[in-house]
Amino acid sequence: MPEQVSRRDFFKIGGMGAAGVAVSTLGIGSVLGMTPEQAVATEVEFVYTCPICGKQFSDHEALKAHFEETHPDAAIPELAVLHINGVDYPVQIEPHWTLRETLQFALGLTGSAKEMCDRGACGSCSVLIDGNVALSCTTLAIECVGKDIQTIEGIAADETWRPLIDAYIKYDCMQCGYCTPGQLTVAKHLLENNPSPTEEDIRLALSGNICRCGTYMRHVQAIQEAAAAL
Amino acid sequence: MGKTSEWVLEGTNDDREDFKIVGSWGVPGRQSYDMATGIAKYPRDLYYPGTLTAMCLRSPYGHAKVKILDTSKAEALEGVKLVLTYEDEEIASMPKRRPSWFELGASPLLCDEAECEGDECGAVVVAINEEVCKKALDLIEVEWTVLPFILDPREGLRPDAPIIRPEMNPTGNVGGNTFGAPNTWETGSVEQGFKEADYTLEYDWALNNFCQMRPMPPAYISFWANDPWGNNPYEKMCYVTHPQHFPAIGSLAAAELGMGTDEDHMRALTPYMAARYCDFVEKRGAQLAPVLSRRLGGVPVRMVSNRRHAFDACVPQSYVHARVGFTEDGVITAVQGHNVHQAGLRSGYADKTAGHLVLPPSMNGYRTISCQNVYCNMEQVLTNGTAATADPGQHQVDQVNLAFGRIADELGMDITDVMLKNIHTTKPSLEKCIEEGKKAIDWDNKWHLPGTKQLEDGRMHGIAARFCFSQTWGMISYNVNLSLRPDGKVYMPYCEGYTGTFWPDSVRMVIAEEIGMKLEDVIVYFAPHFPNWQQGDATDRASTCTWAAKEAAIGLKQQLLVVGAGFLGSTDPSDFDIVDSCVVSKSNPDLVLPLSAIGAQYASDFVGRPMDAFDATLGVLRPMNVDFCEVAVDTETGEVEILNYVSVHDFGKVMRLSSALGQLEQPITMSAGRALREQVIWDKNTGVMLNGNMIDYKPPTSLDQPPITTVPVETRCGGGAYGSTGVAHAHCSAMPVSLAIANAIGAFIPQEPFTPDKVLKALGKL
Repeated sequence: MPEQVSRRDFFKIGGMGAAGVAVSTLGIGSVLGMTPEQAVATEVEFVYTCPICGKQFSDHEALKAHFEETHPDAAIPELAVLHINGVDYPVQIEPHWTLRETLQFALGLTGSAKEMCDRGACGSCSVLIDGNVALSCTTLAIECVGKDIQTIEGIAADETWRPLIDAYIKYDCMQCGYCTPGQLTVAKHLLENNPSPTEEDIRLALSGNICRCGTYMRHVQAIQEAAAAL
Repeated sequence: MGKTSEWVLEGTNDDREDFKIVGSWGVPGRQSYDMATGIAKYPRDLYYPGTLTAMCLRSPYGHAKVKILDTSKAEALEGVKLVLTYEDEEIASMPKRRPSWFELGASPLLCDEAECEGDECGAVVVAINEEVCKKALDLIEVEWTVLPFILDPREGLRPDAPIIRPEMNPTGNVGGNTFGAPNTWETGSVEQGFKEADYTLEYDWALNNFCQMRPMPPAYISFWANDPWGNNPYEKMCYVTHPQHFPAIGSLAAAELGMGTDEDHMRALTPYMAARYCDFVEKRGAQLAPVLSRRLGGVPVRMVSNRRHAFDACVPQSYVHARVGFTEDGVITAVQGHNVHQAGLRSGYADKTAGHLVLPPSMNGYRTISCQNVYCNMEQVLTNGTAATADPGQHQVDQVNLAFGRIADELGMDITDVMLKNIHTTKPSLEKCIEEGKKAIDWDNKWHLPGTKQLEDGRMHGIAARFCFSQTWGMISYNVNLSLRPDGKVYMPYCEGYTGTFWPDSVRMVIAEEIGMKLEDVIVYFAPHFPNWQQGDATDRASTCTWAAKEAAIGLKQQLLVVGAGFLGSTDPSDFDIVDSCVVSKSNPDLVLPLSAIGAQYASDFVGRPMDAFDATLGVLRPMNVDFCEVAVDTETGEVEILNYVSVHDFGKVMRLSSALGQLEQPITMSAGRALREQVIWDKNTGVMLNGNMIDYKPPTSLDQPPITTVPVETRCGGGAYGSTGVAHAHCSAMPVSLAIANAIGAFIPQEPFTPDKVLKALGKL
């Protein structure tokens, strides 16, 4: 392993649970994830990383001091709290970071952070913000402070939605699976607002989510079956 | 009726009829929960503490060469860890090894010449994050020599065309054929065949640059570390993102070839790779990321492409002109054709971006008919613009379907009758597909002569059928390893990428069926230290690899019966069977031994491939498939709506029903986009791609998917287990829509996509 990467970190990345806890990392997100023990306790230990030179610090104050001393003309990255899947995560955020980037690189929540088009055209990065479908690739992370963010990890961990997940499995709503979390997120939103959707309703709701594997008709079957079971 | 062949099932139990597991719907995909809930880690998701970002300089021109390159300012930028140029000794010598077909376009991995706009060229930067990388790239001072470019292969054949790849062909732009296949050939006597013809028709037909548009833009991450399993203790292990199912161009193999190292030093990090639709175009990151990581002491290096970069891999343009002779009965007697085919960057299998060019739509498709008086002349032309992705055969038969449609129109015949008169098929596959499809689409009540049926809303109605054969891709051998472990379960490791065909589940079902295991006692698992390319992931190979799984399972079962009989005090294994993971006496049902009670390992494998699995070259076509399509054409606006699509596929034997049918829904949905609107476009003046994004390039949404009815047929004449076969590219075609439009308006549109302007032009309104 490279020096910076511990076996523990790899374990965390490979073993991320559906609770959607922070698992990695350094890089632009600058959050070091937790041990498995901490994951159970939903506690997070952070390392703050300078986006200009890569230096790491154990707290935000130290990072701020570093900026004042070394990069006095640069904007200091914000320390913000994002409320994701019911948990508050303090995250180092720069003004230009999208929610998708922050979910992936800062929090390791890659389920909903799928990058397909990166410009709001495919729906693969769909999340729910305050109960509404949002494209995390075109939403700035800093805008999400104080809002309730739900990702696929949180939806999947909620037993309420198990019939929807099961129906997606039963009907093979995924082939390669890359767009599936985004589709499921929108499906959950649809069922919350329309408990008995018609095929037309479903196709309309999912029309912003591109599936190159052409699984659309399976989603109709699965969502209607889940609707009956929920 | 055209010529027919017989297919005889081979191997043990291939004629099995008592299926308990194989063929069922209700077997959840082993990886499905991971994919649905977001736990599955795709290459683009992988990111480790300390990961560095790598990016290449890219050309702003359609074809250009680096004249002056100064990276000193980039190197001095804070946060930059490494800058390498094409002059770096190691980079200049990559790839270290090449398969033979790489020689078609042998060139350094990173050189001073950009072959298309956006091509990675000149320098690569590694930095602490993407922002610093971009800043560093901006600081590289580069002066380009802008070179002439060719976007259309027909332009490349003009006498005054610039020669764009003089190191490959100093006198023109014609490149070689993949695998050295001949471009010009004749079978039978074309001259004699035309003499026997009552009629002759000529047609033009063209393919455009359609992008399969894989969902995940290519992404690579690599690092070096000590081998945790103790292998090669003095050398580091290289971890790369994902394996790829085509043995020679997967990122794992690409890294190996690039490094000049051996596969036992490589480990795959994830089986998930999102979809591939035979667009096997790896980017430089596959080979560069491991090198950059090693140069930086093994730290993870991430190198990803964005959506626009992923648009540079397209199905190539092809322009066909052909002449077909046929009798008044609708039987083809001679074919003569010429096609100009886009070989793309470095003639397809380019080592820069590893394009993929297999079976261009030459006259080769006419090998599927009984008449063998065929002359073919093909020119594969090097171009800029795009790397050529796969053309594994289905387009070859598209022009045969086109000829059938034209013959049917000329003679007032039903196109399915023309098919049956001409196609050399294995009975009863084609007849069965046509029969089932006609029933499903109500052909007998809907079929009509061209331009003769108007719908109540005033639009013209069209209906058509198009045949293809099912590719059973047996170009490689399979290597399936099974072992009963002390826990009483049977394990099978694999290390191939997962692209959405559910092949591990099909294999698992076959193993459980053959041995007599409960499905939950068969574990087919991803083993990143097991890179021996033993299975398939394209649906065709996924099917044929079930053959090897079946044979290995039979071998293991024989061992277990002997051992189980011994445990139960018998020396006669023939008195025993395995049912629900237990050895059971046939003569005394009270004698039962759970396999878990054996408590030891027994192993079996099978290495090889099914008989004649790659059958198209033999002129024998086994399982067939037929698509039926119904359209409405608005003759005022030129708009086409696909009203109905029936896809009939002879699977031979269905392994896993849900995913089998899904493999039909995918290409039909994709083909609907291809037929009506998808085309990558470059600016003719600058060579710059104009619509390389998902807003201007419009793949079908859930609202665009036509109504699809899938009809599985099982004639047991495929090369996989129990006579199964795959789907692969068979249905990836705009031809059913094309023929249906022709049936609606009485005019054939020679070039996809069939946009309103082309429809109106065909109607003489533009």
